[in-house]
Amino acid sequence: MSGSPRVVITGLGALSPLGPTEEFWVGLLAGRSGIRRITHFDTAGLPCTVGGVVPGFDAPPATRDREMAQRVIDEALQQSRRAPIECGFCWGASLDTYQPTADGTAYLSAGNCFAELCAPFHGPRRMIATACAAGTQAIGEAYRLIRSGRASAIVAGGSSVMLTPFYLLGFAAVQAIVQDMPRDKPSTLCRPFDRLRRGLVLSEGAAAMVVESWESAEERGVMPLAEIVGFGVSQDGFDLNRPPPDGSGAELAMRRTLRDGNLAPMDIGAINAHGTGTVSGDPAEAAALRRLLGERWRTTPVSSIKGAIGHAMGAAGALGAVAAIRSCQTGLVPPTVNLRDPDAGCELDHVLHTARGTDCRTVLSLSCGMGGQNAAIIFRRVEGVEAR
Amino acid sequence: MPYLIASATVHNPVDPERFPPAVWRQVRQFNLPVQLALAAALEVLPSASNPSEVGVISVAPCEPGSYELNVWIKQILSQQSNAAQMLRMKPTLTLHMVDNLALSSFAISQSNHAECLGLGGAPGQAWVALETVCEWFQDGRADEVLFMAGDQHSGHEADSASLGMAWLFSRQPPVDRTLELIGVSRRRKLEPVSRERVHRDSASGVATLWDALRRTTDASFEYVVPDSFGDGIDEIRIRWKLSP
Repeated sequence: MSGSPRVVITGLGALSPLGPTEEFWVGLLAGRSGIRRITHFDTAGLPCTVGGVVPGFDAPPATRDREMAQRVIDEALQQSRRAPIECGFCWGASLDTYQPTADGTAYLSAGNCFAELCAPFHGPRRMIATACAAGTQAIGEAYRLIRSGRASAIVAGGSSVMLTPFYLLGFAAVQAIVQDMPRDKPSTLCRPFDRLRRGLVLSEGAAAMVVESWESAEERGVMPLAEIVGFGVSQDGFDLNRPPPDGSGAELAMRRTLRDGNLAPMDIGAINAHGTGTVSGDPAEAAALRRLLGERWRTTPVSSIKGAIGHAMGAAGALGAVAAIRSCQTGLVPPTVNLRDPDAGCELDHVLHTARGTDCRTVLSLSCGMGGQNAAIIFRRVEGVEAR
Repeated sequence: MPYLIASATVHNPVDPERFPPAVWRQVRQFNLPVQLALAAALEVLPSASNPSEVGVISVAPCEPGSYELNVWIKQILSQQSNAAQMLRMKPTLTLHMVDNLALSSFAISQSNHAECLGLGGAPGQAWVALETVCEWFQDGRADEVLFMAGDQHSGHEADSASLGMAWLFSRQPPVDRTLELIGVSRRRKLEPVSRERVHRDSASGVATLWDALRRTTDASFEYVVPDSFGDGIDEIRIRWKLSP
C-alpha cells in the first residue's frame, strides 16, 4: 500500500515463565528454561504434571488470565505514554476453560475476560480467536488498522492460561503434549526440532505492545522500538490436528507477508519459528522455511522460544513477537533451548546452545495455529531516532 | 461495496442431509454451534464463484463446549484422583472447546487457503466481523467473503433456541434485489450497558438484523444494534443501501 503510514511499536510488556519483560529476554539469551513442575494445583493422576508457570504471579485461577493481561497492557501503555481511551484493542484470546475450585468446577469464559479488558479502550476492539496464531494475528490486525488510517493507536497482543487440568487432559487426549514421568527433568521436556522431541509443553503468559504510526510516535516524541513491515495469514485447509507435511500453509502465510512488505526472502535476517516440539509440526515448518528461504536456509538463523517457555497458545505469538523485536533491536538471536540434535527433516540454521550475534535487522515471526490458521509478521530495526 | 448475495439461518437440530456424507462424518463429532455455523455456510456456498478462494470470517460460539463435555467435566474434575477415569477423555471433547473450529473445518472441507479471521465469543464481535468485511473489500483482500457464526444456549442436546448463520458477500452485485453493506459506525455510549443485559450470541444478533433487512422497503437503511446484541460499550449503527 504505497503512501501508507509506517507502523511502529512504541511500548512493550511481557509476562512469561521466565519472568517479566527484561527477565524474559535475558533468560532467553542465557538459554534458561521456565518449564517446571506444576504446584499451584493438584496434578495427581494427570498425564502431564509440568508446564511453563509464570513465577511469582499469585493471582487466583478465576482471574489469572485477566490479571496477567492487565499487567502487560499497563506496562506497554506506560512505556508508550498512552492512555487506553486513545487506543484500540486487538487481543489474542485465551481459550475458554474449566478450573477446579473449592465449590466444584468453574467455567471460565474467554469472552468475559476480553469484555473486561477491552472496556477502557476507545476502539476498534477485536477479540482474535485463531488458537496458537491469535497473538500474531492480533498484532497483524493492529498493523493493518494503523496502516490503513482506520485507527491511530492500538494495544495488541495476547494472553493465555493453558495450565488447567482440562487442557492437560485434553491436549494429552489428542496426543499433542509431552506426557511426563516422575524421573523426567521438566526443563528438558520441550525440545523443538530435536530428534528426541515428544510433543509440546503447555504454559501461561501474556504480552502486549502499543502499535501506532511513525508520524504519531514522532509527534509525541516517543522512541519507536521497532517497525512492522509485513503481515500475512493463510489456512492449511488440511487437518484439525496436524499441518500438511510439506508446510505449504505456513509457507503461503510467509510469502504473503513478504509480498505485503515488498520484501524478498534475502531481506530476512532471522526467524522466530513457531517450533513447538510436536512430531508432525516441526518438520512441516522446517520444510516451509527451507522452501521460502531457498539456499539461504543454511545461513538464516532460526530460533524457537518454546523450548524455554512452552506453548502459551493465545499468548504464544505475542511473546514470540517480543523476542523478535528484541532480536531486531540487539542483533542477538536466542538459542532454541533443548535442541541438541536436529532431527532429519528439521534441518535449518538452528541457533544451538548459546545466543548468536548476527546483526539481524529484520526478523520474521511465524505462528501456526491448531486447526490450520497461520500468521506471519516481520519486524525491522528502527535506526537514527531518539526519544525526546 | 460488499453486496450481500446469500444468507442462511439454520436452527437446531442440524439435518445431516445438509452435508455431503464425507463432510458430515467429520462435522458430527463437533459441538452444536460449529455444526450450525457450518450447515449455514454450506447453504450459502453454492452462490460463491470459487469456494476455495472465499475469504472467511468466523465468530466463535459465545458458549463453547457441549452437553457431553459438560457432563464429563462435572463427573471427572470432582474426582480428580481417579486417574484411570480421567484419562478416558475423548479426543473430540477437546475440540468442543476450540474457538477456531468452525473456521478450520470449513477450510478443510473446501480446501480453502484464503484470507481468514477468527473472532472470539465476546459481546459485539459479530459487528466487528461486518467492519472487517468492509475493510477487506476496501483493501482488495478478497472478492468474496463468507461470514459465519453459531450460537449455543443451554448446552443441552435438545437446545432448540440455538442457531447458526452465514452470509456471503461479493464485490459483484446480484441481478435481483441488492443489499449493499455501506459501513459500520460506532459512538461510545455515555454509560455502558450492564453486562446482564448484553447477550453474547453472535448468530442471534445477526439473525435479528436479517429480519429487519427483509422487512424494510427503504432504499437507505440504518440498523441501530439493540443494546442486548451490542458490545455494551458503543452505540453501533450498520448502514445499508437497498435496491427495490
